[in-house]
Amino acid sequence: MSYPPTPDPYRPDGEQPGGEQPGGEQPGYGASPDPTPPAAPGYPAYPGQPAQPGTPPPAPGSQAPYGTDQGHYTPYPPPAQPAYGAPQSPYGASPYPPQGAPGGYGYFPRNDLGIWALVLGIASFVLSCGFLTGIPAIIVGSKAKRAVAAGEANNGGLAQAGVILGWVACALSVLVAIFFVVVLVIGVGSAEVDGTYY
Amino acid sequence: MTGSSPPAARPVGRRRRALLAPLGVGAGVAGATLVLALVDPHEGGYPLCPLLALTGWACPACGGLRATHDLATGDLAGAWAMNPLWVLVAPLLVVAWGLWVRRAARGTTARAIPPWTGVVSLVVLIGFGVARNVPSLVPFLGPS
Repeated sequence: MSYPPTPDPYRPDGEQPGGEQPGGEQPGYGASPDPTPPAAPGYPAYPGQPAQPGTPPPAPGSQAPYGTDQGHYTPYPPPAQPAYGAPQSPYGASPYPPQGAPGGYGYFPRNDLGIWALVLGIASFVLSCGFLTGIPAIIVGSKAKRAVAAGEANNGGLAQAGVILGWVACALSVLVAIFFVVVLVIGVGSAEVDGTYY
Repeated sequence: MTGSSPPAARPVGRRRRALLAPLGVGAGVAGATLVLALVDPHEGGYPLCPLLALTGWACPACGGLRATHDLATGDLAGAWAMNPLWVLVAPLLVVAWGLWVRRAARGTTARAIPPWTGVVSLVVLIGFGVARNVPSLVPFLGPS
């Protein structure tokens, strides 16, 4: 039982999504003390999650409502705590660190993609040849956004920032290329003019 | 969305196709290096960097073409004077490319590169870019 501290970190998180659901949440948990089914009635509050059934997210996600429900359950139900401690132990045995993900509801194995997208997007501005890392930023960023849609990542903001930076860098590169071509044409033209008339 | 390729249906054909990407990249880079070795960027003739043209600042890649030319022609000191970071990074890129070829040849998959390496690289890149524009450091880090 390494979970006693977990309800506290998730309480502030759970308050936003859990605010509207104390009415819908209570019957779901009160009716079925059985370990696994409660995850299903508890889920509708998190529309982002259904893509990955059977993965750790239910563990913290199902706990968050309890923090918010505290005001409605005047006694914080002590019998319910062991009942929910039991279904969590199988998740505890899994190799994931489900409680360790900051601000998340579980394990996001593809958060790397969003970080890489942002790194590449920023690099395309640090290095002044933008498209070289801007195009990879767009590719990796769209992969990261797909991972977010699939519930495998939760850093869609980083991914979006990387994609935008990548596009801006590519656009700037195109503008610079056009500028060089124009300068080249004008330069050559003026040189010819110079040569002809002077 | 990589479709589930038939496992070991034609491993040789797949290996050959997997080798296409690293060898193509290698050929492209080798060709560009050859051009750089033959046409000296110290003499000009390559497009001017837009950042340098607009602001006069040297970005972290400034001097990279000249450093590549110097490396390709065996002038290590000259390359270091143009862009020391590139002199340090270029061999690592060659090694990484070699690992890529080996992976493609053996059909193994890459271990995921931890994202903190990207963040650290970015910090190093930005720090180098700032430092080489500090007037007192220009003789050591800047392209001169």
